[in-house]
Parts: sequence; structure tokens; C-alpha cells
Amino acid sequence: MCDITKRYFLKILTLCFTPIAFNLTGCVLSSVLPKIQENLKFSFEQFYLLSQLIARTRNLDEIVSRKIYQLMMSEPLGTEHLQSVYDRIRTLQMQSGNGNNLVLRASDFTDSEQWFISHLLLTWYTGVYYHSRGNQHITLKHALMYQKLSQYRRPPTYCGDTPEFWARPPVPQA
Amino acid sequence: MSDASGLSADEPYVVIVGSGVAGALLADRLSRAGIRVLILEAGKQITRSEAVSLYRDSWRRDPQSAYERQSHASYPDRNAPDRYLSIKGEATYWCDYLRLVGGTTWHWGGTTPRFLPMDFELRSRYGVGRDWPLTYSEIEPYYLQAEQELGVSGDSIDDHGSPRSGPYPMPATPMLYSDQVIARYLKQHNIRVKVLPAARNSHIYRGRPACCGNNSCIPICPSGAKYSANIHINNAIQHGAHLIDNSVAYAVHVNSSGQVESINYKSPDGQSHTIKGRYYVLACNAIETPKLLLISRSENTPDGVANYSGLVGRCLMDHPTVAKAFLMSEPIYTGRGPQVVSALDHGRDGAFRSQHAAGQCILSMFAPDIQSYVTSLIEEEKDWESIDNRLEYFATHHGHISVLLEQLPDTENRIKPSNSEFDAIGIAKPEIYMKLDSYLVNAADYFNNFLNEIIGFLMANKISDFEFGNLWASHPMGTTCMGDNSKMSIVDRNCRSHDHPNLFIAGSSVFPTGGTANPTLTIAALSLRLADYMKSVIQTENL
Repeated sequence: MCDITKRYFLKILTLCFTPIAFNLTGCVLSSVLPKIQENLKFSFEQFYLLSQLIARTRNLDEIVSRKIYQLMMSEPLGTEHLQSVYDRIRTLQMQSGNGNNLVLRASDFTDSEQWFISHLLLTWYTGVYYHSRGNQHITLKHALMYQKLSQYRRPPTYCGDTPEFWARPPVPQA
Repeated sequence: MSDASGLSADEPYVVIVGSGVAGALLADRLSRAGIRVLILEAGKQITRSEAVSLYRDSWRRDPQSAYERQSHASYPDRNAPDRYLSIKGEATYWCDYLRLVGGTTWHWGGTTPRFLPMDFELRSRYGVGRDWPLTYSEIEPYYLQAEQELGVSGDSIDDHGSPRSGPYPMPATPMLYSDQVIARYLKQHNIRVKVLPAARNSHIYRGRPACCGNNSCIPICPSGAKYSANIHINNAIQHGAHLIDNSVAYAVHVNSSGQVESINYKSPDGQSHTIKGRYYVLACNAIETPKLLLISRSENTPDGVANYSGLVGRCLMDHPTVAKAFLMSEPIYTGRGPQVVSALDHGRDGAFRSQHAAGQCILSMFAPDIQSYVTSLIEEEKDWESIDNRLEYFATHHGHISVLLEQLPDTENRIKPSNSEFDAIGIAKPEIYMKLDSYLVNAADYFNNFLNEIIGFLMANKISDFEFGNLWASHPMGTTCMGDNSKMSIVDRNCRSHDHPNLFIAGSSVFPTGGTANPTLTIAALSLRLADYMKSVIQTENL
């Protein structure tokens, strides 16, 4: 389970102590604030695009996507993480010159960005939002771990096929 | 205390505590015979669609996640802050059960093998454990009836070592594709894979549909193709039985003549009520039944009810499980169809039983846990680009094999009411002491090696060993055992209390030994036998 609260307090502590450690004035700290305000404008369209890129999936369910977007945006550093990962991927796309086939390697991201990508991917794949404030159900049917295996199996509780289908191997879809 | 029965106190009727498979079948049979039956159930009534919706909308994906918590009738939940069971013994025991109308049959796997004839004669044949006071041939007609009542699909040609006097009501469901592949590999080594009988419809039966392979027998069958005991509760009600749900029995009162004269129960608001009957049957499972008997201390029963032997709650048994997961070299597509269909024909009986426990080797006991796998890929390995390929490979090549071991009765393995932990309405929680003896440890060694050999025969890669002692089948048995000697048992061969002639016990708590078969069909058979016995007793006494 991820620990947003702990991360948040560590970030706040870092922000508070940085001016002291580097003998900087309060105005340096205040100059950070407008940037966070800008991050609050991270749009659903940006989130959807980012999710498509990270999950390498074009047809993400929009209702599920909106649920995850709202949860991510409600996290203390949600918009900052989203913007940071979004900007990093945009930079990587420009560097690679072939944005459509961009390979996401963990080593291209900071620890914080890696954590957030894992957090977002885990939510999409499992359909469960794991959080120290309380885990939340997002979706069973549209969880990517089932969507990606849809030619083999249905999510539990959904009827597999006509009775006795399980005696034969699945027929690969074209 | 108020009297909430609403029934005439001078009429002979039977009070049944518990509405799982044991209580439900008994209530159905007695009410069909015109006997007035009252069923007390601690939990509430639920519908199948409620349970399916709860599961689909829950972030948890475990056996209990399809069922709402009830503060007045808690049940074990290892993932909840209040786990309900208080585990004190050496072994990491756990048992999932439900307290609802229909009991734990809401989330059982549906597998219904019979005991072997030898399972009833463990002491005589192998010098360990105990003999049952019944033989296989005495219970066989009731096995047949139980298969009809539950609706069992099975291969009538293959008796699995338990001779049959008639066919199954339905043909067997076909073997999973994954099991067929495994069977092909093992055939070369003379190990046979067989389809287990199961209370899961292979065609429409008594108004219930054929299984369409939802792969969720546990936690909830969405279609009702798998048997659940609410069916017989509803039948009993149609035949005149009266059900009081949300009523938690907490005291059985015995008069100075040794007769049970009433039962107290609490409603969810904590208010106490009294119910009186002519006969009483406790059918609350092998943990709740002894707990109720032991908390029912009074001047006439200072050590609890039915406990002159001092053995109530003792000899708790289950099926500790050896299990391994593996990856095949060819796709087998597990996770499609019913969760458990086949078993290996190996290990259930032999001279070895004098030295170590027998075991039932089951394929696909657990659906592949792709959620755990995908979590480890994303969080630990951070192998984001390969998730889909690796997930697909895992999901199509992954298999499970497990062995349910027979545990011998041991008086130190027990359930007792806690002196310090109480539920929301002030009733003691179950406190459990369990340890593993050398009979089991030797069997675990043997079956570990056997399963490794099997995985070798399959040319598969073993990917996990589950630590022995941490995995249990949730088949609690043996805490009010039957026997002919009143100093060594709680009930007689007819499930009648040695101490109190109008008290009966139904369910797996009466099993003297646990065999290797999943217990539900034997619970059902004993209940149907008890119904016949009670009908004859009631008819005789009313002449």
C-alpha cells in the first residue's frame, strides 16, 4: 500500500527546511507556490493521454478514467506528480523522435516519478485504488489485468461462455 | 426476557440452531414430515444478487468480500480489524466461515467426494486415530440421498473408491482444459487425473441452471448452479418451518432432569429472548456449536452443556494443506470454468496411514492470483513495458496443485470461548489452539516430495511453495465427536447427546476423524440420517 500521507509530510518538511539549510529567504519558498497553482489545472484530457501512454492502451474506459483522475487529483501531491510525469514523458518523446513507440524505462524517471507511475499503473491494472487513507474499489470489469486477458478469460463472477467451454482451449481472436 | 417464539409451547417441535447445510436439510426433512420446526440463525438473509454486487464493488477480492459485516453475528475475517477468531496455538490456523441464512455454502467450492470406507475405520485398520461408530455401508444410502438433494454431478462409473448403490443425479462436468493437459503428462507416469463429484449443475436441475464457468465458486456463484443451503431453508419454510434470522443463540438451558428446556438468543439490538421446544438440534458448525455448549454454564451444567466427558471443543481437526504453484511450458489457460474440477488418484489410502496422514491431491485449488502477480510486476520489478506479455504468459501457463491432509484427533487441538474477547453483543469469541503433530509433518514431507515429482513430470517450473502450517482448507471438524462410549464422545451414533436425551448435534463437529474428503457431503448425509432417526423418535414418543 502506498503511503501518500508520509510522502506528503516528507515533502512539506523538505520545503520548510530547505530555506534554512541553504540560508535562503522566505521569498524563495513563496516562488514555488505559483507553480503548484499551475499544476492544479492538469486537465482530464491530459490525464487520459498520460494514462494511455503509461498503460500502453488506447481504449481506456472513460468513466473509470474519470474516477481515477478525481482520486489522483485529490491526493496532496497528485497534480504535481501528474505534471512531473507528463512533462518527463513529453521530453522523452521529443528526445526519442518516435513518441508512438516510446519505451518507458524506470531508469528514465526520478524515484518519485517511478513511484507515481507504479501507483497509477496499479490502479489501472487492478481496478483498486490503494491508499493509506483507505483503499477504494474502482472497477472489476474494466481492470486492465482482465481487459488484457479478455480473449482467455472473463473477470470472476462474469459468465465465461456457454456451459462446458472450459474443456476446450480458447480460440484466439483475430 | 420476552418469549419471542410465537409458537404454542405445548406442541412438540424441533428447534434447530443454525441454517447451513446440516440445519437446512434437517429442517426440510422434518417439516415435510409434518413436524413443526423452528430455525434460529445468527446471521441475516441475503440474496445472491446482493452478494455478487458486493463482490464486484469491493476493493477486496477474498472469500469474505461478497458478504457484509454484521456487528451482531461476526464471522472470521483475516483482513478485517476485528478478525473474530482468536488464534492462540502453535500453528497459524485459520478458518473462513459465514454466519448467514444458508451458512458457509454461500462460498464453498462445491466439491463433494464421499469418505472412503477405510476412513471410518482408521483405528482398526491402521492403529491411529479413532473408528467411527458407523460403517460406510450404514451411511451409503444417505450419501446417495445427499447427492440427490444437493444436486451432484459425477461420473457414476468411477466410484473413487467409495462403492455406490446408485448413479449421480447428473453426469460429471467435463474436465478443465488445464486438467486435461496435466492428465496427458501424468498418464505417462501411470498417475490418473479424475473429475471430482461436485454439487454444481452439469445441466438444469431442480430449477437451477447449468454452470457457465464464472470462476467464482468462492466467494459467490452468481448463477445458483452451485448448491447453497438457503435452497433447503426456503423449502422448509414452504412446508411450514419457521425461521428467525438475526438471532444469536447464547445459552442452552438444562433442567435438573438433564433435559434441555430452552435456548436464549439475542437480537441485533442486544435484547434477550427465550425459545422453548421439545427437541433441540445444534447445527452451527464445528466452532460455533462447541462454543455455544461451553458458554452455557449453569448450576446443572457447570462445565457447559453436553460436556460430562470434558471433551466438548476438543479434537478440532481441519485439512492442513500442502500446496505449490508452477508454470507449464505450454499454455493451459487456468482461470476458466469452475475453480476446482479434478484430483489426482493418489494418496487417499494405503498402509502408510499407520505412519503418516493420507492426502487428497487437487488441481486448480486456487484460481491463479493474477492480481498479486501484476502487483509484483508493477511495484517491485517496475517492468512496465513487459507487463502485458508477462501477465499473459503467467495467466495462461500458471497452475496450482494442493494436498488436503487428514489430521488426527488430538485433545490439545481445541476451541474454547475466550475469557477476555467478546463480540459486539457481549458473547465470547472463539479461541483456538492448534498444533501440527509428527503424523502431519511426516505427511507434509512425503507430499512435498510427491508434488515436486509431479511438477517434474509436467516439465514445469515450480514458482512457489506455500509454507506448511499456514494454509488450511477451512473444514473445521470434530469438536463434539460421535462415539459409543459416553466418556470418550459427546453424541452417540445417532448424533444424540449422551448427556441430554432431547439434544442433538448436526454437522462436521460430530466427525470422529476427518478423512481427506471435503466434508460437506458427509455433513449432508449425516443430517439426512439424523432426520430419519428424529422422525422415528418423535413418532414413537407421540404414540
